[in-house]
Amino acid sequence: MPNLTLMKENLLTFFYFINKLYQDRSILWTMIKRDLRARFIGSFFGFSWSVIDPLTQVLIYGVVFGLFFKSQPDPVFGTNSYILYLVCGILPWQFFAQSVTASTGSIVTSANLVKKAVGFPSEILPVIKVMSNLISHLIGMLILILIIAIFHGASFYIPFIFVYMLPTLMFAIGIGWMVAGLNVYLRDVQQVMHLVLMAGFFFTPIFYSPSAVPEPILTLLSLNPMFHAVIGYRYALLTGRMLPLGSLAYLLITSFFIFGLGGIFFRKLKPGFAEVL
Amino acid sequence: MKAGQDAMLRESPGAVLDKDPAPDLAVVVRNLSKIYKIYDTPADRLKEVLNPFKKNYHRDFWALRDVNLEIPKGITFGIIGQNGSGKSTLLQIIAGILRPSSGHVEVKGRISALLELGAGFNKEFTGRENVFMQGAIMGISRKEMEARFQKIADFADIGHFINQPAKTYSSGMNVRLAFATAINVDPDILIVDEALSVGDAMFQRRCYRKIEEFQQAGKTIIFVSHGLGVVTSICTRALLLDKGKMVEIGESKRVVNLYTKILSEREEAYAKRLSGGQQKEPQKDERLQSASGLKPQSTSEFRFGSGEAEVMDCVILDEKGEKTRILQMGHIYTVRFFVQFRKEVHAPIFGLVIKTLNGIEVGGTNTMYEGMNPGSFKFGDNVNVEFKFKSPLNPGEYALSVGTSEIEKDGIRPLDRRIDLIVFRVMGKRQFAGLIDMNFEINAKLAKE
Repeated sequence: MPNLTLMKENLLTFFYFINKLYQDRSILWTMIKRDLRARFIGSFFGFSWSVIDPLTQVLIYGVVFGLFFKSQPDPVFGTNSYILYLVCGILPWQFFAQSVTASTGSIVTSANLVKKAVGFPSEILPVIKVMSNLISHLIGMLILILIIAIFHGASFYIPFIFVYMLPTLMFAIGIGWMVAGLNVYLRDVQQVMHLVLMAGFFFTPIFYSPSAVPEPILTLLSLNPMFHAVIGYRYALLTGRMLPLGSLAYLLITSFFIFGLGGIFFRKLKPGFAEVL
Repeated sequence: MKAGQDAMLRESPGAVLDKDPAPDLAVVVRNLSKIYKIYDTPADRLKEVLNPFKKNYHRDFWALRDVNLEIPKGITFGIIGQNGSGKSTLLQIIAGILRPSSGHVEVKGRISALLELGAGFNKEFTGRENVFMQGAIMGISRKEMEARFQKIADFADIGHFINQPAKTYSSGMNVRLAFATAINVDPDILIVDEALSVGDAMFQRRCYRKIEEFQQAGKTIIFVSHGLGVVTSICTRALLLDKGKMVEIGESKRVVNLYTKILSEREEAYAKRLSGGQQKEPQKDERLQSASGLKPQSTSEFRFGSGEAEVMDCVILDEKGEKTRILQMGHIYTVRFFVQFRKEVHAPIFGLVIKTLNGIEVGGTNTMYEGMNPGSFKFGDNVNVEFKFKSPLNPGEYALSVGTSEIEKDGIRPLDRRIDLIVFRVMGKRQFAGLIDMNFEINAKLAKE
């Protein structure tokens, strides 16, 4: 029996934060631009890092699992190319994982703003990190779609990636709020998240097919919203079909719920930030 | 959900309170306390969280204890007190950055603040970007900020540094830009915490002019400073905090006077404690402190001499004969001290000098300059010495030195010289340039052709 008050509060928080982010959009945008610049300007390859990074990962996993282990994608996904299969999973996962990693330290590194800037909306700090990762994700996706169009054939379903991108974004922000807030009090969170994300990478069907997972464990793995998001991306990009309705509903509901929960959590922790930092 | 909504309101500095306790109050503080939990090690914090029996691993530190305060709209309110008295904590709570442990704070209007030497700048951002960010926090559109940017840059006057990351700024530059921004983002309440002392004299003057403009525009200013003269001159009301508790609140002059009194009492007590501790130690420098054990009365005092006479109980008396350390410009005062002789002295000199705190001598005299011979004194004689004067001093702080010496064949030998024995303050309304009132007679009329 779901807790009704919590759900109501969750819903209210959800709209509160959407509204707040809208109100702070100008400062949000300024800081996203600044974050992107900080990430890429000054480095020799600049923006191409957002491509080189996942590409290297794809190469490594492609060589190890495709070449050494001779992994084959499940035929339901509609491709024989293990590399294509891999890259369609790695990109959404990386978007999520890097967003969460970057969010974790976002409050601590901006201690000066949190402690001295009167009225500074510290909830935007994790959001900035997620948004700036969203932009590199979009660039990566654009290139991927071009490659798919050339080597695989584009389908009418490609725009549906946004149906999966939005909940991934919400999920990342929700988790980002939680870990960023917790990390202020316990710096161990950074280390813990590193391990959690590593586990997440292996327990999400990125380099293997879900059909390779035995049944009771598969149900367990499918509790993770990213499980559905990754499959959804593949269906849209490679297969040309929608996620099953139940799966889609689960993805949307859980990620929006986590977004709201992360918001509540962050707001509970926020008043103590200035004191602890 | 009620608590949640309140939290939402508090989060935005621009939030308008739905209940309006009194329309003319900018800030209302009720029964406010702030307790910091002090842990010996970070592990103790964790132990306390994890302990199933809720064992305490911390000590409580009361940064503020039961503070009640109402700041009417449009006044300039000063907060004074020694280091660690809770001034900054109070400001941070009013600004909504720290949460109170108990009690509550209501703020009406948007706050712009310079807390603890500087603004909440993002160190990686350039000055320009920080200015725009502060504008965005205050809800001012980018277009509007672009229109104001030149004004802000001109006021801050930090040259090309405006386009450099804030991490490259000196503390002075930080404050310049922070102040320039704070006054240009339409706050209803301006909070200035000790910040202006970092800027150079010219910038400080510009800031005080700006503060005057703000006062005329009817804005509320909350001002924390150790410069008591400034507090008296710009604040109408003030609060004196000591160890987190309210000592006095009211008209700023009265509160500052009380504070000055408490400070000098503490300084005397400190000196006594120091000299009490020193008695067992051997004298470090025979030239400065004689074997007779002349001890400075306050920490600022420098005392030397042979000790064959001792200057005691030096006070400044007003016309009613009451002890004071606050002098009114143009009034008559008497510096009185006693000299107790420990040997026979045939030609003593009694003297005094008044200096500014930076050591510029403003005026002074002694019995020799005045061609006076006070006479001969023998062991045990106690002489009452008085110097009467009409104070021509400009408002500010001054130090009084007194002393006695003996004329010998080969020169003057100090018996007991007490340098900067008393620090006193001069108040007054008349304006003039320099340190003393020269009583110029001014004549200006149309010159004959």
